[in-house]
Amino acid sequence: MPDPKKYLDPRVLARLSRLDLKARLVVEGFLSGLHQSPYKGFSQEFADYRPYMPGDEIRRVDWKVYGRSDRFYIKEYLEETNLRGYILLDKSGSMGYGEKITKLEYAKYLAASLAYLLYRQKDGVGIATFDTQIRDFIPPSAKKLGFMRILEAVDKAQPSGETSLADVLSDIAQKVKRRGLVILISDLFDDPDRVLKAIRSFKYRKHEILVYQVLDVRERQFPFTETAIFYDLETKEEMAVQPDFIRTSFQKKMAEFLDNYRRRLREARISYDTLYTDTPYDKALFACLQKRRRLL
Amino acid sequence: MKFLAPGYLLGLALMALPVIIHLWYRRRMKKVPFSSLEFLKKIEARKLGWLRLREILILACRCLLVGLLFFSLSRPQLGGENRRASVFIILDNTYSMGYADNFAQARKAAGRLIAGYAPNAEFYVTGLASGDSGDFFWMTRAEAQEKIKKIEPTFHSGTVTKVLDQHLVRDPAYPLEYVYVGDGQELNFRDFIPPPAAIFYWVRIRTGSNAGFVQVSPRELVRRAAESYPVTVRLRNYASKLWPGRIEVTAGSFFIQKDNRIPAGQEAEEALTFPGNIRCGEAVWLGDSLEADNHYYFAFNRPAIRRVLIVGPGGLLERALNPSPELQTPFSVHTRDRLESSDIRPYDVIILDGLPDLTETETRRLDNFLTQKNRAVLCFLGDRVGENLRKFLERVASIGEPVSPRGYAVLDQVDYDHYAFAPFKGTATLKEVKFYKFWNFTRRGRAIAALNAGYDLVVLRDNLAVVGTRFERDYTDLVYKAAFVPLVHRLVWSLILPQSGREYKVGDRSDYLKTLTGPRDRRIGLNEMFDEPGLYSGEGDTIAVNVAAEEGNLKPMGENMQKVLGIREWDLDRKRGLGDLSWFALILALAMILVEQVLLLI
Repeated sequence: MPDPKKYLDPRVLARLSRLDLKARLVVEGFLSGLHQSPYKGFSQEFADYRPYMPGDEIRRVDWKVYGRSDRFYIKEYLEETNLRGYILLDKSGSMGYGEKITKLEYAKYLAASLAYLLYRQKDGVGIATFDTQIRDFIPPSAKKLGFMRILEAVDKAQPSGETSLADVLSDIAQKVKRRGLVILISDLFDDPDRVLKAIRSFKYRKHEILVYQVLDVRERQFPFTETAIFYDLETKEEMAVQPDFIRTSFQKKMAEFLDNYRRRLREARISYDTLYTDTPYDKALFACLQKRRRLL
Repeated sequence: MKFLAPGYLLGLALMALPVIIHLWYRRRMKKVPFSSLEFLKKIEARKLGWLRLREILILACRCLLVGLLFFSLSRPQLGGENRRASVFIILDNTYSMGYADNFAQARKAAGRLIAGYAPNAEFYVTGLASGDSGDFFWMTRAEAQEKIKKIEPTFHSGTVTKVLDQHLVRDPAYPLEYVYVGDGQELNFRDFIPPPAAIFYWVRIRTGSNAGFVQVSPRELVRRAAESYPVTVRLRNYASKLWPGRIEVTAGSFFIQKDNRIPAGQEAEEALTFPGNIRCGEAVWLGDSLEADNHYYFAFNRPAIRRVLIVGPGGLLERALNPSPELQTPFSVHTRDRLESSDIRPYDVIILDGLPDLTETETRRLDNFLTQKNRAVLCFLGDRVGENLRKFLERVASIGEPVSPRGYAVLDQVDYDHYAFAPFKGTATLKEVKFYKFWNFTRRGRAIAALNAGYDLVVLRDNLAVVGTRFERDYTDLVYKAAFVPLVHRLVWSLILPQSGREYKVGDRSDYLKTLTGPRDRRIGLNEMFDEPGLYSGEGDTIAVNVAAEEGNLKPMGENMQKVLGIREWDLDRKRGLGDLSWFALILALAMILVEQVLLLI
């Protein structure tokens, strides 16, 4: 029997073609690995029985069934929430960077997976893709059609244009009136002050915010050795660089950049994760579920 | 600044090569996409600035490295250009410079030397053996260069002393400098006295070692037709190693060859015997690089018949000079009792053989006779010497008393370098000759033979010679010896034609034949100089002209001799002034490599 958790590996997932399948496999794989299942069964609508597994709370055991069958079963309920999730997917030129899979591809699978996770939880989920401006905006919906439209929007997202993250976030903040879970997937390559200001504006509107900063490992390590002309994927600007001589400075600068986001977002009580394109998706999904739980 | 190898300056164009490579490499540089250059830009501007500066510095180092290498190869010279001087240049064109391409090198060096002085410097250029007249005039640089081109290698020998004597320097406008360009053999500086208030430089042309002929000579002056003919060949090895080679002698239709090995620094002698009579020929030494002294020409046919008048009793002398009709001697001998009645004008030699005295008229006639060229008087003293005869002989010897020792006297000192005695060198032939009666006299000329009791036997001065005895049975047993005839022949010949006692050398003048035809049909008149070795024929006679053997000794003068003579060696590649900048440029180039490496490490 194939191991469903293998689809948490972005490299494995990249081999699949259908985005909906990818999202479903990621989420199923993720869920099968959870020892605790606190995220199901908080509504009153019965969903299914399932065998007791170590780690399940004892109070959730259906003792009646035990009395009849002498086996432990857990009774699951469909969750019913009025949660609205907003996935903000950055598809600017810089997101097109990556060796095996690009940051955007990673972000797309992640966005699809998160959408599927929320959809599966019967939450309303919407998406906005953007570069210098909003390219697609699908309002939150708990219906399958809504989910399919999200997948369609994610699927067609291609890296283009420059980043104007702060302005776009401000625009989106204007559009999203109702309180919900805002998931930002971006490399955050913009002026941190302005970006943070825009992110905080969501906070002011009582949204729960989840920030996933997607990076390629090479953007942190700068492992290049050969002198080469580096060109900017967004601006197409070129620059001759001798990596050996600037690596340390670059790594330091990048560390400062990430640390700045981490520190200031933590101060603002905003969840933040740095995801590299080889990071398994369960980390992001787990963070999402935790945040969702806080909202419920 | 001057460049000894300016062709390399073209290489300076290659200084652009590192820049071209840099740009080409940059064009070929891989393009790497990156998410954002913002971080790269944000890296401290100072660091990026330094990196850019470093790149430029490395590029500059590489350009300079290439430039300095070619600059060094072009042999830059500093300081020589502005030197103004009056320069007396002696270009060695003696035959020793025929070794390898030494003369071409010397000519080139002289050209470089001239070019190295200031444009307004003045020059005088002459060959060491050119035989230029003494006309002295300063030349411009261009004229000096032209003169250098005109000086040709010769077969002559020569000395710097002779050149300086012939060319008296006049009115130098600048400090006077003498420069000799050549191989610097000791011979070339024989009797050299450094010119006062001037520097004497030597531009050394490296040379090698050599072996060559010293002489090829017949054993005897008298030749007998159709008999075997012995010839002695002498070779000298001037090198410090054994010199193998082969002698080939061609004479008429005869040809002899013989392998020979000459010990280091020594002479070797080969006795060759031709199966028939020979007149002249050429000996060749195979196995050496200096050609001029590898050929030796010889001509044994003596000059035209000389008329000899013997005044006195005569006898054995007459028979010695003309022993028999079948012997080819170069003498026509006549005998008279008295001189007074004889017409002496047709004669070349008058021999006074034991004549007791002369009349005053005879004395005057003989004095007049001696004033003529190629005339000689040979006097053998007999039992009595009268007053007039003593006076006549006064200029060569003051005649004392007759001596009759108990027993006999023998020859003690003999000048074997003199033509008369040369064949007896190294033999005891003359030492065994006994003299029973002779005269004691005080010499005023040159004694070429003396007896053991301290009595001079043969004294000569110019074309007058006196022998303190007679060549008769009562006086000496020489007349019984085999040496008698050749000795008399040679003694007589050496008086009438002193040059016949030595070989003709290049540089000698034709002195008794009106016209001679030499190698390449070149005609030589009376008193004209022989410029090249070879066989010269004319008036039924043939004479051989050879190069001076000693010029073949290529050994250059040593440091001690240079010091003593005040000669400074001048290496043109290390010019005076601030000197050769090649090494300086090379060191700078190495420094560039070092700086580049340091920059790469930073």
